Amino acid sequence: MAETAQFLITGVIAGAAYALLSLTWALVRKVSGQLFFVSGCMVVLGVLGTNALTERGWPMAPAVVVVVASAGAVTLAADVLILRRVARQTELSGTLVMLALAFAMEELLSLGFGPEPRQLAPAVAGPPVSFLGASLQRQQLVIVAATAVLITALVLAGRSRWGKAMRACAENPTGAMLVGIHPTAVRTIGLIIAAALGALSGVLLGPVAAMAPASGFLLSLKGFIAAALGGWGFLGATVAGLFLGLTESLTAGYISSDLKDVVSLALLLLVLLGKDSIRLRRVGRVRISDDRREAPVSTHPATD
Amino acid sequence: MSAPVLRISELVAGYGAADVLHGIDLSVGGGEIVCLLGSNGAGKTTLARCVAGLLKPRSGSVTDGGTRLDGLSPSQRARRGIALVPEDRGLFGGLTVADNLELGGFRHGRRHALDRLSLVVEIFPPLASLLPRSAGTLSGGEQQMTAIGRALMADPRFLVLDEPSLGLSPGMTRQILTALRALADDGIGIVLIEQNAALALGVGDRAAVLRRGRIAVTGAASTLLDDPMVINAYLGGRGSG
Amino acid sequence: MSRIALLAVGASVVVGAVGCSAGQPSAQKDENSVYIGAMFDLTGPFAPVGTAERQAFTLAVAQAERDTGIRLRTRVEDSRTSPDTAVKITREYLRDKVSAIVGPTPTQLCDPAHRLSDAARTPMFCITPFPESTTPSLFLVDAPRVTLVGDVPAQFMQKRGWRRVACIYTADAGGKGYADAISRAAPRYGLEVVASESFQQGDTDLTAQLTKIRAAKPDVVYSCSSGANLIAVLKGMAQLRMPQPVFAGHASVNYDLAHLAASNLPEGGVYSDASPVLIPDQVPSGMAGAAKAKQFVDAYVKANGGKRPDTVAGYVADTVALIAQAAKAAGKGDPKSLARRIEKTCGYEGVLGRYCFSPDNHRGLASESNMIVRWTPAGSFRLTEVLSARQTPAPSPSAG
Repeated sequence: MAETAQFLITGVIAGAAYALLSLTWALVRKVSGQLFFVSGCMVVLGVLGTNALTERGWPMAPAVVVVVASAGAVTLAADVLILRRVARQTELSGTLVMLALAFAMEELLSLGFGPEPRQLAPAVAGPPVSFLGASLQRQQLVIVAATAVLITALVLAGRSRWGKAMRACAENPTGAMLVGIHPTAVRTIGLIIAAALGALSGVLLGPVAAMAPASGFLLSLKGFIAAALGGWGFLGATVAGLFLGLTESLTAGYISSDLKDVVSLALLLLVLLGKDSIRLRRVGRVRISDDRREAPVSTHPATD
Repeated sequence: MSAPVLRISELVAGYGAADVLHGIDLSVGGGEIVCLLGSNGAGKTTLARCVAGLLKPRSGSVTDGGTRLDGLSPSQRARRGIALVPEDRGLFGGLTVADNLELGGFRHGRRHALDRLSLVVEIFPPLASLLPRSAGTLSGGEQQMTAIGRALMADPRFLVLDEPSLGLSPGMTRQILTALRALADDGIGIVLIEQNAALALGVGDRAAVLRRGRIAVTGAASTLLDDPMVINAYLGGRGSG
Repeated sequence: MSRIALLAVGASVVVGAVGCSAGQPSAQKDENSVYIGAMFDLTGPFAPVGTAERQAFTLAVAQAERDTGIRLRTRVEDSRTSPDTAVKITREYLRDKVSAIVGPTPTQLCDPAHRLSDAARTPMFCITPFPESTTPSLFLVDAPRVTLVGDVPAQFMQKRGWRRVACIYTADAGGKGYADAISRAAPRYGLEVVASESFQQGDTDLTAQLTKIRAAKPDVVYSCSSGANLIAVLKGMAQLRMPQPVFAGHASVNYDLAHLAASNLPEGGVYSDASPVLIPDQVPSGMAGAAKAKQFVDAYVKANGGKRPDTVAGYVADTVALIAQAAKAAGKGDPKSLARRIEKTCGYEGVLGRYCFSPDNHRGLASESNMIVRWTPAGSFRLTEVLSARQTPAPSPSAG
């Protein structure tokens, strides 16, 4: 019983982390249609940057602000110099460029901070707490709470005028321009928010997991699986992240830890085979509300 | 008193190596409907794109009340009050009709949007029941109403419509043209791009016939409508419909 | 599209350039000089190890040139923790007619790479204890794996009275190597492996695996992994309130990790084996390697802004020194004479201890004793035990 509780709670916590990552993918996909392979690099930047500053004696809060802002700045530069120019190109070229950026960023992180793993001090210190017979680190509670807050904020923001404007840009950039929205600016803002969210996730995850520049890719991949599984919506990505975390934890717990990653990779395969449209609605009767993203916008409707 | 005028002067534009428009002069004032007629490939859509800022002309100019619009992006032109309803309608298919309309008034704030919304629904009553529907699921006529409604949300001074009747039933087309006439009577300047000359000329004040990138004939709508020779020569004999 | 292709290519070139900047083709080309091709994982999950290895390599080359008076040509490439890359680099080195190849480090890279060097009869020095057997061209400057990651921990666990061993290992050749070694050694020391769980390199949450391990009630947890994976093990154990001592696998023993582990030490402590390079100041007098290790550590710390070397750096240093010594003795640098000469090297004292090779023994390190350290909350290591390597395993003792 206590074991089951531990597996479930472990799954929820891992799921919260996956959900945070998948949100960055969902957001970037919404505003630009691109795949955010640098997501994991931003998380790592969050850990390594904050660690570097706090080790130099900075207090936590300003260090986090500076690091999150620099994640945004890096993304702004990448967007202006590279991403913006390929935004209108084929999905393949956009994907390749994003991948190249992710590798380049891993190298840069390694050059800047060294290849060694780093960790952060927990926001809430103290021994682990018990919950339903399972035990968890206090920082993990912080992660779950912060994830909930961030997801709520994103979902609400997605329904605001600005959120709708972002979606409008992804759906029909020309249409967006014609109603006075500046698609490039909105895209850039969306990318910057995603990068900042990634770095912030790093600050949250840093105390429970030591990270090195090379850790980024696996994190990115988990975020991608969850986002694709959830149909690229904010709520969908969140639910899919939790689902992925629970599946992995229960597989490792009850079947075999050797199979844990097989399961997530099998899920990825399913997602890729079913393009991006394996909806959780079909898997688990979860309503994804209006966050879903339909296949190409039907701008060529049937006649009257 | 001089009403604001959107003026196109000696406009040359094209794609790649080929010029599509070879020196177009056209103007539309507030309160009038100028019909731009011509067969497929005559350059009507290219002209609309130049006006909206989606295509950069090779030479010539578009001026709004004397101000050249050359350097302005499509979104900046939209904010100046120049709205284009493109041929493909440019809707946000994954968003609801209400969201599409709301975004049409994006620059004007929420209160303004609510006022405009009631006005748009007054002009196109069927939209009222469509508000929660996803724009991608609408019929052609419903989409066209949404598209025009979205353009009207920004309270434009000039409205350019590219083939609003495309794919619509005659009844729906008439309904939309009637609404356009009413909008013009309220002071909006409208450029109505149409292949269906008879329908367009029926509501237009003035008209220009575009042929191979040049204005071939221009005059009062009623004159052109009554001139069977013009209709036969330039409109492919489709005028009798 | 062409612009995009250009951009993509451009970006990858930048990446490539950064990666390849590690290569240092030396200018001088001399028929009689010794040419060492090295490959370390400068990027990827093993980058921390690879970077330290490269630093040790640079130092060792300079030292060997001073000691022997021979000029060493060198080239370093990034094997990126990728078997394909290791094979590619090996092929290139063989085409370039290197005298010897230093590296790669991970077992899964050494396996395919040394098949090529075998075919070309060029000595290759993998920096890993794992390959089961050596070949005429494969040398390992290390004790055999059973000794190092099987017998040494098992002997220590037996000495401490820890009978029930749980193993948590990375699901790769290295991790499985540890797990196999301890499983085989366990019965000889009266130990029982009560749980064995795997995880993927880089996984950060191991609580599911550790929950199962906790249920098996082990006396000690053997962390069979490399690098930061150990931190994930320690954090998971802290979360699950597991007080058991942890024996940290060989490949995660360095000062960076000691620093990270300091705030996550379990009640029972973290232990690992140690080389003179790790704790030069605590080496018992009379143990081989102490003096040279101290000298090497000082030079390393000075050259790297205070950063301390780990055992792996010591392997690289000794490998380079052995190659240079052999080349000097042979009087020429061709691969075959070099390999034959190394097989005759016996009694050389490096930073890790004394070496004795023979045609039948390509694992040179003849350690008479093994040091066990306890990790300290200050991020360092304290010598707690010296095990005699010559001790014959006791038959399963009864409790006591």
